[in-house]
Amino acid sequence: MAIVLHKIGLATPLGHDCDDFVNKIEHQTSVITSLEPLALLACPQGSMVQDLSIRSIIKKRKEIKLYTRAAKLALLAAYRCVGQISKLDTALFVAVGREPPDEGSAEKCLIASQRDGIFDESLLADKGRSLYPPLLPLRTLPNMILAHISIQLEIMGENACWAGGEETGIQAFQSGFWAIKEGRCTQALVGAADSFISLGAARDLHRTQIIPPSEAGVFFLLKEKETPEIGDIVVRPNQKEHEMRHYLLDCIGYAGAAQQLLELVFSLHTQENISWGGLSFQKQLQ
Amino acid sequence: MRDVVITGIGMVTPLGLNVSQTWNSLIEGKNGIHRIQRFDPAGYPVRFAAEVPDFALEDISVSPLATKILQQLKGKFTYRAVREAIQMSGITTKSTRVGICVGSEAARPSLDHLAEQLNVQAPPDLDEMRSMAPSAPIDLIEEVSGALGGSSVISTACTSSSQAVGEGLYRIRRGEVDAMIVGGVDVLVDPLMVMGFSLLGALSTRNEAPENASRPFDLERDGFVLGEGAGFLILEEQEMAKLRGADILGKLSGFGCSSNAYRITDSPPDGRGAAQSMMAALRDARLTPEQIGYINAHGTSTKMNDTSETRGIIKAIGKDTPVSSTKSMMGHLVAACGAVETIVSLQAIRNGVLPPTRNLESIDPDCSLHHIPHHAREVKIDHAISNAFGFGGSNGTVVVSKWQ
Repeated sequence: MAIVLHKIGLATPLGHDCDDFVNKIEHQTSVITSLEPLALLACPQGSMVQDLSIRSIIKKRKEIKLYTRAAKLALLAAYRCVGQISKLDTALFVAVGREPPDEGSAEKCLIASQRDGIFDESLLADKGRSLYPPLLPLRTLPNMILAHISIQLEIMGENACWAGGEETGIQAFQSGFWAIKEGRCTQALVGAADSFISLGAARDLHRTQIIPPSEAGVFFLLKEKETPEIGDIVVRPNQKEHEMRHYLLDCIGYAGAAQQLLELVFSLHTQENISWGGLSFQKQLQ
Repeated sequence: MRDVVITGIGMVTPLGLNVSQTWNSLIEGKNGIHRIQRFDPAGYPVRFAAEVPDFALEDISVSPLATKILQQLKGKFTYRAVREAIQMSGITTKSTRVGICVGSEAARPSLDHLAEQLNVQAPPDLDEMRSMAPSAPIDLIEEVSGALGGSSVISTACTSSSQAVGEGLYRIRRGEVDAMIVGGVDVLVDPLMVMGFSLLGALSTRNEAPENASRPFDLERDGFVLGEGAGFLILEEQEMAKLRGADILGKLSGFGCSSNAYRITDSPPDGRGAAQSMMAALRDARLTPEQIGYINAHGTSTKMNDTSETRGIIKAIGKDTPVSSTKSMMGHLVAACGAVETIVSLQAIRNGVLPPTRNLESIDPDCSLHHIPHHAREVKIDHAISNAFGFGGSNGTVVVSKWQ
């Protein structure tokens, strides 16, 4: 039994079509520009996905207020990746960055909860209380990205949400691969989403000297297949490591947890065989 | 397949600063829930929680980053619990064959940091940013343990550390490493979190009687109680542990996991996700439901979780297996609860004592199970399971077994 990379779904500042995405990177097309959401920063340059509309995907429209930018990116990419898939037997592994910023909704509350520039818990209980966005914890828990995908696409299998930096994309991918390989599921939706398009996140990113800020969602559907067909990308364990070439920074900037998986998409489209993250990706030739 | 055993455990909980203090308090049915001491909760909708008693760490020589991490409660709890687990195990962790996986909620900036951001508009320095990053607990553990076999952070709300234990099991089984430091940590008793979870309506509001507030499976339950703490385990490949003469505490037999795919805050009334998780864990452990001698339930004391979990237990295991929820005594440790309650389940096997559910006065007819109300029960068992179900619908179940 082989494990094949069945489909890729993208939501990036370079578009959501894989060929188009790869083509633009090959031609070093940069979409980095001054962004209105970052206008207050000394360096407002970055790239963002313009259309984050998820209304046609989600079941309950009123729940749209629970979605951060990263959650929308994730759902768009995941939705583009899956069709009619088995609910019970599909694993879902997602990589996310830091706790998604709440994009300013708590600022009024925090300002009202200060006395002489110092946070005062009694003011939070008083003036701040009515300004506290009640859904804040549900918007910003990291695993809400996983939850939204699971609920909207009805995926009920094994799952986990990896939090941190770029390395989390590899961890999510590996988890999906091994869940199939070890017989716990027959297919796995694995991917990452992250967004630095908010003042706080972009400012922290500038501080680390990794600029400019960007955002993306990227998902892969891995499937068990008895006999791989010509053209299928077969994934196997492999200890050799491929050196990813970091083209993306020049084209879109830094997309955090999604960065390495986007690099993988590019490599898969431009090279026959690659090794990455303890796995090899080999096109079936006969 | 390589078998995995547990050779070290460490805990910091509202009931004690180590495993024996916590365990002794649990089997005595002690209460760890009180009016909040860390800040003045007057005016808050909920004014009580399960706080870890204050303690000081001895002076240790660490890097500036680790120093910053240790200045936070999350860092202190992690350090103390990991150190207890490593010392108990006697393992040499300084190796590329020892990995780390931690269940933790991702970075929540401190209130001081938020105020600074708002007022000064000055970003924090790099070490401060890293000390608040999701990876902060693993940065600390890597430094103090020397473990270099790869590390990761799982952040799946209340299921986080249950999944971290599962990840450790898988990595050792497939031979990537020979040992893992796994567990979880969380600190939720701060003004923003207490206010946030209060406004969500998820917390018990029994301000007049905090000691009676966490009452899983009881007819009068009205929400969960925020807690905090850390729990860590040392997992080892069985043959290597035997070879080095380790004192083996028990076997980590299996792990199962599922998604409800239902709603963000609600569990499906039929308990299907919970049942799927427990059945997957039993399959993984190659055990039958009849072999399970104790269930440490997620049992949050919310209306919805407890009925849904009951139905899940009935579907997956049946009604006859003894069940208790130790959250009745130490509150909900959220990202840490899966690891802490796995340790509690292991202790139940080792000591032949099943901890009780405190405050279970009147069992909800919709939660009809073989409960252990009020008092611990002496029963020798071979296998136990520990459930952890999270906001967002992720479920995890760990199976621990007696070491023969």
